[in-house]
Amino acid sequence: MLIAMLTVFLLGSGPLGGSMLTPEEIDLIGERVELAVDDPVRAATATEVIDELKTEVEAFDEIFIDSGDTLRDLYLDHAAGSRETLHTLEALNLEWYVSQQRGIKLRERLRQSINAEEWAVIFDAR
Amino acid sequence: MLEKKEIKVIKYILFAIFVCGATACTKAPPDPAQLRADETALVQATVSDPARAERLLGLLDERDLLIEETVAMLRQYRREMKAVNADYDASREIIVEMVDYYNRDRAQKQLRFIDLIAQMKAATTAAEWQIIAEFQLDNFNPRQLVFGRLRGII
Repeated sequence: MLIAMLTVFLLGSGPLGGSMLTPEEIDLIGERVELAVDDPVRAATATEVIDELKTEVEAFDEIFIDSGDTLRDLYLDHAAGSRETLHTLEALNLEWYVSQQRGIKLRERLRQSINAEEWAVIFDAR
Repeated sequence: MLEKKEIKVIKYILFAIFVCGATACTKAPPDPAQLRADETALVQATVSDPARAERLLGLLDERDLLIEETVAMLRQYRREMKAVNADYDASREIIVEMVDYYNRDRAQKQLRFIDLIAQMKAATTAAEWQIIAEFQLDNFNPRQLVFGRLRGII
């Protein structure tokens, strides 16, 4: 059963998270691409995009974890005000946005190397 | 040759390993309802002023509702995004619009969380908050409650 993993990625992610897109899940997408795309040139291009996606997810995971540590400290600190928490979340949201935009671009690039039938096999099978 | 004392120690360790494996160390997932009841009891036992304790308990109810709302929002968003992503011809603009909508909704809920946290702190002393907040972060971390519950739904 394959989930629409790019979909999850666009949500932003993190290791705490439920259906968060993990590097292992991206590996599964890569395996699906190998099975679905017969043309070796297009398969190689798609794999390159998948690798970039994995790097992106790993980078955002680190940001997500770091922000969680900061938020935890602020939560515990009775003297910490809303402003500091807001500042941390705004910084996270900005990183989240940037990561989402990269994800959208990667989706477009992936789409260019995969036809509609292959796309359905990779993302629509459950 | 092992001495009697060493054999006794080894037997004890083996027994401990067996007991640990059979019972205590096979940690069952916590019962959310029980944890919530424990949290209520902790608030009542920790916050010295009954009026402030009541106020805090009311805020915890609000927190629970906000968690539910946030999870529901994420589930809906993920369903919609999954459908759009599965559409090979979905335009970039549609995806960007959905992401922007989600980001705004998430930011709004973050603000509500921040406001709730401020109110909870205001209802407690620093010492009371230390005890309650540590319990909450271990058992009711908003991030875990929201994202953890979404595992595998897509």
